[in-house]
Amino acid sequence: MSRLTIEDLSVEVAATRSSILRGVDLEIEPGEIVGLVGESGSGKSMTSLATMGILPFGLRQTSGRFLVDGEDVTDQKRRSVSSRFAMIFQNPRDSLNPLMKVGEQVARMVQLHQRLGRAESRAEAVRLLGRVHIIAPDETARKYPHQLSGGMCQRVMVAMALACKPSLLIADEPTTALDVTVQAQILDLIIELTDETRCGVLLVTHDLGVVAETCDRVNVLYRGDLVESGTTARVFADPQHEYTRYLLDAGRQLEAADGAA
Amino acid sequence: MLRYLLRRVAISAITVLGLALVVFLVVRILPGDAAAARLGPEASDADIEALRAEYGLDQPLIVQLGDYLAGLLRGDLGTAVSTGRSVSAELFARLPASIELAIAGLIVALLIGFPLGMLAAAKRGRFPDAIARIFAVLGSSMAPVWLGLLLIFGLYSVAHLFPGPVGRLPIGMAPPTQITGLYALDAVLTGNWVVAGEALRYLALPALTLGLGASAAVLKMVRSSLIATEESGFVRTALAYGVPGREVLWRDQLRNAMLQVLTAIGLVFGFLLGGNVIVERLFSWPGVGRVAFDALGSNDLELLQGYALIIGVIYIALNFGVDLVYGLIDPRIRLGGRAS
Ligand SMILES: Nc1ncnc2c1ncn2[C@@H]1O[C@H](COP(=O)(O)OP(=O)(O)O)[C@@H](O)[C@H]1O
Ligand SMILES: [Mg+2]
Repeated sequence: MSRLTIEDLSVEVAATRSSILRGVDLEIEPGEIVGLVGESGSGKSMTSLATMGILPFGLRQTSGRFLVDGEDVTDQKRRSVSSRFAMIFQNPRDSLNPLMKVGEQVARMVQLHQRLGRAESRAEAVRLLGRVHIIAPDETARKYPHQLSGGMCQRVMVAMALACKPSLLIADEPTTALDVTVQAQILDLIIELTDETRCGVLLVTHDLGVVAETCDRVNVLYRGDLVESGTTARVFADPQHEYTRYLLDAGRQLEAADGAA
Repeated sequence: MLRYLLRRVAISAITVLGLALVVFLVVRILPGDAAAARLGPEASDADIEALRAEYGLDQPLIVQLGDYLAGLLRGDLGTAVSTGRSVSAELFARLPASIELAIAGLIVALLIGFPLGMLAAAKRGRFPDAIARIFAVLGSSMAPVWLGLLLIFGLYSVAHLFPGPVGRLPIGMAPPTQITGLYALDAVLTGNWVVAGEALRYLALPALTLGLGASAAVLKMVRSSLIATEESGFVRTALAYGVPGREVLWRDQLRNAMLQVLTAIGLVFGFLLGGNVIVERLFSWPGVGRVAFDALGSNDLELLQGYALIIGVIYIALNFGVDLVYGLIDPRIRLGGRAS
């Protein structure tokens, strides 16, 4: 049974009725990492936020059906509350509350989603920080976000995601703001945890290199339309849509330029 | 934190010095002659000259400035030409009345502005938000005189709910033993309940007049900073992870918004303290605003200068206090930059 099924998702700007997403369909199986690629402004983030049911003020979902683990959750206003979603974002430090210690922030999610007591939640939070390969989890738990590097903050976010025991993890450009070496570590971490927990992952990125390394399947979004979807190998070898070919060419040219430099 | 503190202290000190200079110069540029004003139209030129000499008003500007700054260092603000008493005595005697009024005004502003701002942000774009915004526009555009007259007319003349605009206590009632100079507080501290009640009743209308206007500013600030946090990453995270909306509002949004709101509260209080000349006049409230108003009428430069300086220094002290609290709330300041 699929972790997530999205059918015919459309989103528009409420004030002007200009459309942002048109009839997007997506499917994610347990333990599968599915890529969502497209240039900036193509609607990748709005797809993620609409799935979570937390579209920003001013945007409106006009159609769409969501199934999580086979259960229809379309009518739940904030799907995140009941459906065991977790999400990590592009800017890890901004995604954490600057006034709370990171251990507390993870513990809060443990308390909320695993219904543990305060002390147990704290202990579990430290354990989770260890599980995302933070070296001194005890000490890190007592730090504030501004005292940690971007990569560390993203690890904390992954620990928070684990605290939810999610069916689905949405990662919106999780490595874009990080150094190359840290990028690889975070991606490895996501792959490792996906295998372990069998959750589904929607990996949003504009970086085809990231897709090639991590995704089983990939969907290409172009100005609000899903123009191509298929296994990563198939899409890379034999792109059907003109825009996908353009994206791949652009990616190869970048690589070539990198190689030459 | 220590570096932050030292910086704030240095900035405050420099600001006070700058303020003293500006006040001195502005007051000298104003037309009018306090000596002539004090002695009246009958005075001879020689008498006026003598008085001018007595107060050093005949000296070159630079000498006057030197005297002035030297006096400040000794805590001497000079002598009020119009009354012959020392400027600091004139002002400090009246300051508690103004502080009492400003605090009461601030409480009114917070009681009204804070919950309305929260409501407006929570129901953004919907009916309560629209009402709150209309209120904010009305509150900030209505002149205090007009609002004060309206309140006096409605709540005193017609409804007889509150006493008329005749000062801090009923005529003939002795003020409580002075501890802080705030009548209501002193009366409570000395267990003088009758006076406490009257002091509060007399405080109500001027405080409402001041506070209603200021509540609009508080409302706007609370609303906009809450909405700003709504768009921030950590609120999005909390929502995405299923934290209940009410907890997000109190624990994530409000605590972070407080950093901005606090600054606004400091500004509003300073404004209530220094900007209530008209309200004090309207309610015969014997505060520093009245002193300033009278000083303007009698061309008393020394007194005006002292008023501007004291209000300015209080303002700077308030900002310093706000920065301090900021440092205590925000770990980014308390703990400094990256520790590891
Ligand atoms: N609050 C909003 N109001 C109006 N338009 C918006 C709003 N948020 C995003 N958009 C528009 O929606 C489109 C998709 O945005 P987004 O999903 O963030 O793109 P991506 O994540 O692919 O870079 C963009 O054209 C953006 O301008
Ligand atoms: Mg995006």
